[in-house]
Amino acid sequence: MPIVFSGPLPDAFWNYDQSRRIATVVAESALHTARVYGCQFSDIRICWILKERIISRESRIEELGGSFESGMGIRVLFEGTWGFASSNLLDPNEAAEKTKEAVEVAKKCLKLNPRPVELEKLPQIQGQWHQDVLIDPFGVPLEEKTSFLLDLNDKAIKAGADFCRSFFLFHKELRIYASSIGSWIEQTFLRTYPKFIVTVVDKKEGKFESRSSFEPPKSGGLEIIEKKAFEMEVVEATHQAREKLQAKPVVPGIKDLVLHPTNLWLTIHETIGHSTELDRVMGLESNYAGTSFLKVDQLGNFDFANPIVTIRADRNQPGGLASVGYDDDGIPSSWSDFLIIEKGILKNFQMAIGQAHWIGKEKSNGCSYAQSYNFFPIQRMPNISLVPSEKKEQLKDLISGVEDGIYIIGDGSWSIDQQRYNFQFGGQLFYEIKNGKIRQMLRDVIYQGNTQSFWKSCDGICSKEEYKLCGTLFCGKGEPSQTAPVSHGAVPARFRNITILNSRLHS
Amino acid sequence: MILSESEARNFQISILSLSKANSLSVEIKGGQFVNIRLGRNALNTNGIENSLKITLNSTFANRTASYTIDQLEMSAIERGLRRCEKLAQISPPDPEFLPPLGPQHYASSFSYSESMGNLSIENIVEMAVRILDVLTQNQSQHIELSSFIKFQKYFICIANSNGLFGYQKFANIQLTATARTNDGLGSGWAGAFVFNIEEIDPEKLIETAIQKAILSKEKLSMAPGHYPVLLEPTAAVDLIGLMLFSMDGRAADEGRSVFSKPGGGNRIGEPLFPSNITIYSDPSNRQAPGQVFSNDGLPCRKIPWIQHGILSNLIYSRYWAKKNHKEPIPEPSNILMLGSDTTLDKMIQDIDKAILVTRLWYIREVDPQSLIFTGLTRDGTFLIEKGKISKAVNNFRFNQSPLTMLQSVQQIGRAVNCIGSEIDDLPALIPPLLVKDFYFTSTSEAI
Repeated sequence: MPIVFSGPLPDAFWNYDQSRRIATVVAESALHTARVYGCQFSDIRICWILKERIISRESRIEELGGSFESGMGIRVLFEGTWGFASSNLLDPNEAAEKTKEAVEVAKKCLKLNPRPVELEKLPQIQGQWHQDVLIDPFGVPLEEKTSFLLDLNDKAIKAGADFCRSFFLFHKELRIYASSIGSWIEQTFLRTYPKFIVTVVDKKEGKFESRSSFEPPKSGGLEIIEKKAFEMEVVEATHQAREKLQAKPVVPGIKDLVLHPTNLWLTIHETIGHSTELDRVMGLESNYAGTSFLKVDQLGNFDFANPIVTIRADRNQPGGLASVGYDDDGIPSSWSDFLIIEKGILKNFQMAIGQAHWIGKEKSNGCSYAQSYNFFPIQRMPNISLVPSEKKEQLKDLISGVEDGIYIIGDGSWSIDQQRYNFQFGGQLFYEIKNGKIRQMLRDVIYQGNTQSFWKSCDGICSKEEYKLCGTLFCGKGEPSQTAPVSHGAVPARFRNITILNSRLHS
Repeated sequence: MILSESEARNFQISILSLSKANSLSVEIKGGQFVNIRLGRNALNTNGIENSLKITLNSTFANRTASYTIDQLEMSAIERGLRRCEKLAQISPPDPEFLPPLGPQHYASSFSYSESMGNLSIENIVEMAVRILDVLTQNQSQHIELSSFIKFQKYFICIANSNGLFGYQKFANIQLTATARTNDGLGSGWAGAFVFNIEEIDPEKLIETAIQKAILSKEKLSMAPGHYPVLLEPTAAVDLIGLMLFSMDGRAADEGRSVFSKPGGGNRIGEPLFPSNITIYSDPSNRQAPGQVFSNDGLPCRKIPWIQHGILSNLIYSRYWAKKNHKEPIPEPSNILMLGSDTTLDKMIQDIDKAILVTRLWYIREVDPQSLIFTGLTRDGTFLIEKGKISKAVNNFRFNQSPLTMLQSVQQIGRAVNCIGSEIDDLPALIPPLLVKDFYFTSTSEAI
């Protein structure tokens, strides 16, 4: 594992023992109040969140900002109806007040709720989980982080970029969960996101092209960045952006696609990740994120994909953004290891607590998350990944089987309908494949498809040697809208007869 | 937590007095946020959030950093401030640094009214009850309704050590609803974003969503292609809003924007659109009031972005404006488009053939060079024939630039309050637009 930066240094804001003492009295007050008011169930999430963002362009740090936020969110179940209230004041009296407020909300909402919430038997957990971190970015001297970004920009400019923007986002959190059934869970998370975008301009022609870095956000510290590789990539990216300016515009048509994991992860996220969320399938997200083309009775029999496709959910991949010890319902991550698609057939939906009985199951599979203390926990994705082929298969093998196609690297524009049928994706780099060989660079490529037929057309999946974990910190869902971090692992895969459009011809 | 103007001013004075830096700018934002979410004709989730955030921005010479905390005790604020100052002291010098602004004059705004600000959780629950009552009255239609009511009451106060001070209160409601027929064949949507409680009519909104759902059950299959389209305001605001937020003057001057001029410079002054297109911002607007100051203290005033079809202004940061001898222009805090007296119904009556689009969904930029966006129609897409909605049609995916869309606007209706699916937190007054040529690249099975 490469060590890039020095550190760590102690952070003045981070005092675990003190936080635990505060959480103890706050949680006791909240859960006691809920009990006194006759709640069937109650839980509380108490968070301390440290963030840092450093944004640069060329030789300038555009933004240097940090934040430290803390607070509590109390959820109560009163006569089958939820109530939720939150506050940024971590104080036992405030906890009692907010719990009363949550109970009052639940009571007032009783008349809106003809279907009482049915909770399954939940496990009582006493647990801790802490993200493995080699280099805590909050302990690394600021100059090292700003210098790294400015040096990166400088390398891009020297390589011929007209502009280079780069940034670091760091998120560190202590989240303590307690519930009325006696669970007490302490977890710490650290997420790191490095990124650059180089842009080249042909002012005379009035044209420009950009290329973004491929390195995804991950759980962990600065050890997730291989400094030398990142520096080499920014130079290579500059040359590739320049090459894109002169690249041949794609001719629309039906072609085969070979998708690199840096592109395929987002397609997995949108087409499989979101369509298999049970709250969407049941219609609960219809006013915002949408529903799903899947139906409950298709579980176990829906022919979702080619039999070579298996999709696994988990919360324990190293570096996975959704890798945690317990979800926000207090469910252990061991419950979250399940197959969503097995050999092409739909095998399971993602569930938070109170949802399993909708599909005749006894318990959830640990798929709950709240963006922060002030959000009601809702059903969210664990890591969802394409299982590599057991047969030895390399990228070159996939490409050699293509007569007329395109190889796409990196994610670009993305959009999908509210039931997850019709999608359109772009990318960063596009290469023509002719007669089994990669040829020239193309530009302006977008691909469209229908989720089921797309996954049915998958006829080649590489083996584990080419596995890469990608993801996003900002998956949006829910009202009020919440973002969630989630990773998707993939290997290169091949898809037959996909609709290719030219993005600039189609307006 | 809501602070009055005098409480906020005193709080600011206390925070500013702690500064050891050359300058300190402080933004305090706090409030109460209440939401109720209905799903499948019943409560789904709810929440009451009380919050207060303080963002500090310290400067030493030309070194600057910011830090946000949500603690109220002065000791915690002082710790945050020391952290901020430490970051500023070790940050690299900023070649584009400008000292914080001095005192400014800000316009008055209608962003808060007592009648809206005095609403309670009971009033919001009552609104949800009224929604479900409409559903009961329409029981025979077999509708599954989801809805979201968001009531926000908050304030923003900015101040700095150079004497700048600004305070503004807000109170507003967003109500959106999606009605789906039980058989999964029809879907309809309606929504509103208002600052005046008199302007929201939950029953009417729910009726509209239900009617659209029922109307959209039986669909005519239409092929993708170029069509005349009547965009309802909630569809139009998304594409117009996304275009406005692409109007960065620096990006245009640097040659990396659709508003760049080949050979250098930008396209301000060019007649990019027909003369009937006028789009502007004005935080003093009564129906869709905006924030009267930007985060860095610039006054938000009435700004024409497109006036009678001519590109009139781009967004200019303080630094880029100074470098180019221009007035700084902050991002829009509301979006207003000049309309006519013609209602949507009257526009429909005058149309021989067009597709009526209720709303758009999942809009993302495809090509920054030409500012092409992709997205889909959703929750009510209909065919208008001979002055009437004749039947529902399938949903479509579009790949469309807002520029070419506005270039082919044939008729503009009456501007109304609206809320988009992407532009959902910015007050907007947008008319329905009849667009002669809108490009749908494929169809979607989604309902």
